Amino acid sequence: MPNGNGVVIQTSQLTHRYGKFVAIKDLDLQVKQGEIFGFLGPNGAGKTTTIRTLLDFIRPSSGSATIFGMDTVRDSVAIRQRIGYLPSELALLDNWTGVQYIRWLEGVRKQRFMDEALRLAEQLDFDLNRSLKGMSTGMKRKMGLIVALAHKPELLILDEPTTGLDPLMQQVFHGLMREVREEGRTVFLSSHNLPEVEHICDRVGIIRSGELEAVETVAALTRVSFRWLHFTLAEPPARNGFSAIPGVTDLAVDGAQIRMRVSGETDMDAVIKAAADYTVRDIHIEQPTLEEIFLTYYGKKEA
Amino acid sequence: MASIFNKAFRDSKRTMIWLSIGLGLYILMMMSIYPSLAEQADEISELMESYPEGIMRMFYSGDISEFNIVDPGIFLQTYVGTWGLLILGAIVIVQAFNAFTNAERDGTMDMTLSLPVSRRDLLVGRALNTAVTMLVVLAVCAVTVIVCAQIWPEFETDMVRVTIALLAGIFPLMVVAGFTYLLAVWVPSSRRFAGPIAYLFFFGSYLIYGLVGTVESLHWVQPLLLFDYYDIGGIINHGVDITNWLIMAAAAAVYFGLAWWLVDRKELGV
Repeated sequence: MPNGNGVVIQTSQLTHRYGKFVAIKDLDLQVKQGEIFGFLGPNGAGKTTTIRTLLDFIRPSSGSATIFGMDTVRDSVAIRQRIGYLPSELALLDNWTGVQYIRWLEGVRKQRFMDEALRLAEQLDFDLNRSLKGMSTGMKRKMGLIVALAHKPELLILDEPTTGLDPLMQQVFHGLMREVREEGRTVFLSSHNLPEVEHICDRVGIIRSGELEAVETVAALTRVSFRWLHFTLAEPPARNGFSAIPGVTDLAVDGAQIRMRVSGETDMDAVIKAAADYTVRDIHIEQPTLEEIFLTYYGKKEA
Repeated sequence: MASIFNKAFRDSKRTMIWLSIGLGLYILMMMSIYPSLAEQADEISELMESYPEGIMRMFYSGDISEFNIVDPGIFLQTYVGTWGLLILGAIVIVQAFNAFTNAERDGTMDMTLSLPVSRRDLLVGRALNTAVTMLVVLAVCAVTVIVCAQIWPEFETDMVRVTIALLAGIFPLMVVAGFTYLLAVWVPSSRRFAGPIAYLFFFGSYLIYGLVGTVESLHWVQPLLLFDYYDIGGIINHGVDITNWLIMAAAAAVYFGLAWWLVDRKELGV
């Protein structure tokens, strides 16, 4: 049960230091019931440290955190009964088959969920009767998702969940997350993959160098997000039909190569129609780096 | 805690089976030479008497004036007690480090502790597994000796005392386990010195025990070392010295108690 305000995760001035290195600093975060909250940041920003602190693997140097209104240090066992967790670097106790593993988990959680595990395994195209030993990263990841989801936890904490999953399975994962949201359960998901976060999250917290820079709705993030569009034409263009399109900036023409920055709100139809004036040999869409997103975000905020 | 124990016990089953088979065969092999030893008791006693006392003290922890290799108790202490304890002690150290340090390093600790399991349950479950695994192996050793005594009736002694003496091996093993679990919990898993310290504590203590035995002025060191408190020959020939058991139980309890207290304050992860 969340606290009275419908808040499932709440951190207050949460700080963790590794010696002199401050991994997370004064983190104030709220995740509400029923939402998919994306925790976005580049590698080393403090995402995993935050998650490890929430799960009580490491203790706050200062500040505090609560989950379901309970203290993450004092009530960690009771909290973990209601949580499903997928770490970024998954290491399964791999001398068992998937079925044996789930049976053991049922014993630990004192709860039956084999049927749900089998349903998830079918969706993820995973054979639970196979030994977990020697499985590829992607297959282990699927098992990790089954372990995290099978007992239908009220809160899912997923650290880089789609790493190692092929695009088809990423789609299945997105579907599973939507199911979780529809059931009123909560997801806290860390990622450095902006399109993924845009695709499934309701709100996004942006963390950089251990500090929470912003918490935004995905719609607000989409407004500042952009893509780099590369066209390779059959021959250098005689004129430039792209510069007049609203939202297209940083246009660069190098022979038959055209590169432009297209904002999230740009009418892509206008861009494609402008490109139809030329013989297009290739199109390449490049996602911006998180650093570029941060710069854009802060550029707009300051303006 | 029961689930942690079940999982750990299941994981240790193979080690336990092979260790039992290995030690059982070793005991069988050693016991098979006993009849020929007994047959040549006088010649062997003469030979042993020609050994310098220092060397005898280095390899025998009991009263040297009573040393007689043909005595079933002393035979078991010399050929089974010492080596068996050293082998099982090494396994206990490996188990304790696998339970904590290695689990932290390979990430399986994260998966276990993401479940509704407290760190203390994890420690107790794993330590209980170490105790049960070792008791099973010691019991197999005792049964092997009893079977051997049926095959070679020359090995004539009180089999109840043999069983008690062998099962009492759990006391020194739990001291080693307690010390190692304490190290595993106390030393961050990113540091690599906990393993050498544990091995030094155990094997070093054995070597020092032998060495100080050869120097009369250093005999006072022996009661400070684990090997002074476990003597199969002593139990078989003179009965149980409950003080030794209490001292070892207290040492193990202190080590486990400290580990239990510290594990809740540990920063997990490498």
